[in-house]
Amino acid sequence: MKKFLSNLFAALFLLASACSPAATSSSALTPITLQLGTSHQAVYAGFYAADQNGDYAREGLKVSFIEGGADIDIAGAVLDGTAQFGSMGASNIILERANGKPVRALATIARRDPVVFFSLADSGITHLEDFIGKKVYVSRVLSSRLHAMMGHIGLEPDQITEISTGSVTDLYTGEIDVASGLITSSVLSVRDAGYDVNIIYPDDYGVHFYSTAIFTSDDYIATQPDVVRRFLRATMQGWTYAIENPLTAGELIQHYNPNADSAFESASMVAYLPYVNTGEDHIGWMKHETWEQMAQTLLEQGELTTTLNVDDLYTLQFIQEIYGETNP
Amino acid sequence: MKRPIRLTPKVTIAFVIFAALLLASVGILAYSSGRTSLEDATFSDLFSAALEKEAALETWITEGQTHVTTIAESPFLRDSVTTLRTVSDVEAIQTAHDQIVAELEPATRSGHIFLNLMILEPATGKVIVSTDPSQERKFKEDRPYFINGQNGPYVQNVYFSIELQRPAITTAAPILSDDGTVLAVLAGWLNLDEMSAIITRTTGLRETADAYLVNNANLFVTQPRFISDPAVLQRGVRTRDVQQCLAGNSGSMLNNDYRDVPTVTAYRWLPARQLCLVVQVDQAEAFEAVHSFGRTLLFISGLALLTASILAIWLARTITHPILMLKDGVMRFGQGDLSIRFPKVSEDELGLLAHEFNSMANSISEKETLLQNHAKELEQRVAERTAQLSFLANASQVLSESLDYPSRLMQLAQLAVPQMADWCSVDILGEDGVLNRLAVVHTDPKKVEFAYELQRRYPPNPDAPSGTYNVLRTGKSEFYPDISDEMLTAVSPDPEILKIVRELGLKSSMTVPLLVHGHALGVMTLVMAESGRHYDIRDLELAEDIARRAALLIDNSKLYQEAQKLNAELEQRVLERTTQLTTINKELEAFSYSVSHDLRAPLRALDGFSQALEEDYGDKLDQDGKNYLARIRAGSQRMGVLIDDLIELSRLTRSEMRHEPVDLSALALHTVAELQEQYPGREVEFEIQNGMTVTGDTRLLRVALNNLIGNAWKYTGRQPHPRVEFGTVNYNGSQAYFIRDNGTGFDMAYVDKLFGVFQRLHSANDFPGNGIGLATVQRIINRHGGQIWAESSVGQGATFYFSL
Repeated sequence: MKKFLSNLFAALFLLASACSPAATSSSALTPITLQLGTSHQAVYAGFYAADQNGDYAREGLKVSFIEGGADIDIAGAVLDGTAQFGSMGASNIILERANGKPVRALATIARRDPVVFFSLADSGITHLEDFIGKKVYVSRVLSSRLHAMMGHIGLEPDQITEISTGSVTDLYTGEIDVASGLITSSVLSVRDAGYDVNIIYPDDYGVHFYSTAIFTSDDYIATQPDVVRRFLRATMQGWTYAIENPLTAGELIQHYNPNADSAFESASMVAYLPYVNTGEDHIGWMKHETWEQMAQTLLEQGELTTTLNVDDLYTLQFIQEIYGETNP
Repeated sequence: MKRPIRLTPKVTIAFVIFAALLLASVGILAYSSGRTSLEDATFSDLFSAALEKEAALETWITEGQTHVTTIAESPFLRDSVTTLRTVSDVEAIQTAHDQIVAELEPATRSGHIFLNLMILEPATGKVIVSTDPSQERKFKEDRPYFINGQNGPYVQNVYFSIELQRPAITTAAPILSDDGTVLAVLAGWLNLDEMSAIITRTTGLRETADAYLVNNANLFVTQPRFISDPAVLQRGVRTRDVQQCLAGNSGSMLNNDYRDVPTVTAYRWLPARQLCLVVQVDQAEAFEAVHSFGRTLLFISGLALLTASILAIWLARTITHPILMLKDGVMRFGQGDLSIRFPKVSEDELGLLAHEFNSMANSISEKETLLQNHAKELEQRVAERTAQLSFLANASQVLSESLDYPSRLMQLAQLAVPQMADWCSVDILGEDGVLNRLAVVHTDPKKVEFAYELQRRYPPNPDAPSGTYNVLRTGKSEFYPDISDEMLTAVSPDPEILKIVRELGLKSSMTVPLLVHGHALGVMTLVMAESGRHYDIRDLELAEDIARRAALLIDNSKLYQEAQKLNAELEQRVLERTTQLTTINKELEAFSYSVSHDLRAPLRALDGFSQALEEDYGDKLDQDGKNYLARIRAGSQRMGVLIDDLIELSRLTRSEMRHEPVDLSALALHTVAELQEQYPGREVEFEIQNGMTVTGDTRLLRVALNNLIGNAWKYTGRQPHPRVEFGTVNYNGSQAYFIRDNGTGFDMAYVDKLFGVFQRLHSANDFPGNGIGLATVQRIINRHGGQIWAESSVGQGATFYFSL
């Protein structure tokens, strides 16, 4: 009911805006582009909700989404003005910053890393120690994550066989012993395929990473702080809705990707919930220690070659304004 | 126009409305009071339930906390953990580990408070012992229960446990060595299903009762009864009660819950747990009692109303029935049925009303009958009168058609029969004092003949005390409305006449005089016989009226004839006189003609020879001689003028007068112009009124004006500022013309002589003239049918007035 009304209201508002003379229409809604990290997925459900429910429209914004992908320069899109905001992993923000790109995180969506390592239930691989001598499929990007975990228990990278290309399905054939992927998607697919898995969480091995974060350029923060504030506020509202109504995720996504598997995406959102709302602090909140730790880990793992000023990586300013608090 | 509401429905409706209002107000009062008390009861019920649940929850969590703390404090555990951490012998480690597990494991069995117990290494957070083996050797260093559990007993409020992949509450307590250093942290995962059970536990009295916890991210923390899918930390709720509660308030309200179903809700904010407790029951169930009460009320009210309505209708009928009957009767009575009477059926006011109506109806009936009879009578009389008047009109018309009264009277008599009489006769008094029968009329001409025959044989006796001569003499009518046989006997001189008269069947008669100027010119007789009708006094009046008109007619005829005769005589005399006058006139004319000629001839000689003398022998004469001659000439000339004037005067008086429109003003102006031309040296002021026109003889009037204006000119000869006026004036009420001058004037004592022939009031030396002028003027004015007179005073000028 509420969603229907929200949608109706949004539709009416948009309709009204469309019908009004061109001048007022263009001044009424500022067009904003959000560069997604990947193709349309449940991990962006909050954005979709903000769009569909008219949260953006209420803030005077008209947001359109550009799908990302492995070969798309997310940061670049934001820096060259193709998009005003972007969404990518916090670790990527650190790496880009290290490369001199003036990108800065505004809020984190996934405040725990949904990246997990998993093996077939009967493989006997339940702990990180069990990886020794095993074939582990891990992408180059996530490789440092694994290394950091291994380092936590004193393992050396060469104690495992890393396979950087492949797919999760190799797990079934035994080509790999351990796969890596998102608990919100890969694990679900495997379970859907009928396989039960043991999950090894990076969080259990001292690796605590933020995942999906919203970022923009330093320049944009300086020149358009009001737009940033409005965008973030609406986005947080959208995520609140998504948290409370996870089963609507499928329907939301279908609006942008008509071919999406609605049931899968809803299940994905349900799995994603505890990563977004940990129960410990507000949605979107960031802690200095965590950014510090992430940078440290990347440095240790050699991903980062130079030290960074951690304060350059993020700004809590807008999130604090939105929640009216300085503490979570 | 709206149809008026009938009495029976009115009474019924009034009664029903009253009953309905009464039932409604009682019902509403009862219902709302019931509802209010039920509401209050429910709120307080829910409130106590909430309190109870809160207490239970706290107890449970506290139990968990206490349990963990107790275990953490157990010496056995302390020793075992110490061993685990310090000993390096693998076997010993393993033994200690197993012992600890064995110790911990019972608390995690099904039905017990814990799902899981772990012991974590301080600083690293590594799980060294766990009742769930899969958790061992994992690191929980960033978990709040670990971080805080190092410092003392701690409860981590509901959160989503990654490792358990489910919502959890974790209690922790440090395991301390004797000297207070933290050996390890003991953490226990409480079974959230138990918590749900506590919260949702009901007494079973209410079917729709539900209770649940919501965290400050608006997510369910326990499973609500009516959501089948897992909702804990997976579904949000933002109903009014939850919002209020999460804002830190506790209370109760009526609102719609997460199913959008109306509920009665009590909510409590649990600050220690940062949770909102909601206890609710569906309004439908809560208020069922009062709703069913309401339904019963409605049903009973409906029944009561129905009964009341039926009662009302019956009652109304009872009351209104006699009234309606009365109404019907009165209506029919009003429409003309005067026979309506009501039977007296009751002793009450309605019965009395019926009785009174009956008396009224009786009296109306009687009066109605009287009125009708009276009306008939009147109609009859009106018809009669109309007939009479129409007869009168016709009679008048007949009489006025001409002055030939014999024919008119005959016509009148014929008009009277048979409308006004069976017999009608008219007798006119002749020169010889005898009544001549002018007309006798009856519908049967044979009877008319018979009547004439009768008259001849038995002429009426002039000396009889009654009859036509009596009427003629006395000028009074004889009227016999009802002729009896005795009367017939009385008037019949002999039995034969009596027999005839009887046969005639005379019933009623009247003889009226034809009166004019107080005496009778004749009589008219009207008799009713065969038709059997009788005259009344009005018939007599009518007859007298007609008789008067007839008399008037006769009188007028006679007068007219006389007038005619006189007229003829007068004409004759006028003719004779005119002939006389014409003759005289002719003689006069001849006379004056010869006179003038005869007089003129010697005069011509006189003047001629004098002139010759003057011319031929003038030089032989001395001054005296010339003087004498001049005077001779002057004298003869004057005589000539005099003769001319006299001739003129006599001609003027005899000549035929023309009658044409004459503009006096124009004539006057003309005269003035001539005078000014003739005497250019003289300046005289003239004021002549415009537009004086009369009907008369232009030539004569010109002469008159010439004289008058000429005189005025003459007699102002000595004035320094001579002024002559000619205009109209109102002289004693009629219009007169005047010519005024400011000349020498004359003495009024001699005014009579003014217009005489040859009369002069001034000497010829003073003013020229022969004295004929004014006489001529007078003659002319007189011929115009007017008068002329004058006013003057010596030295003040004169004014001559004349009318035309």
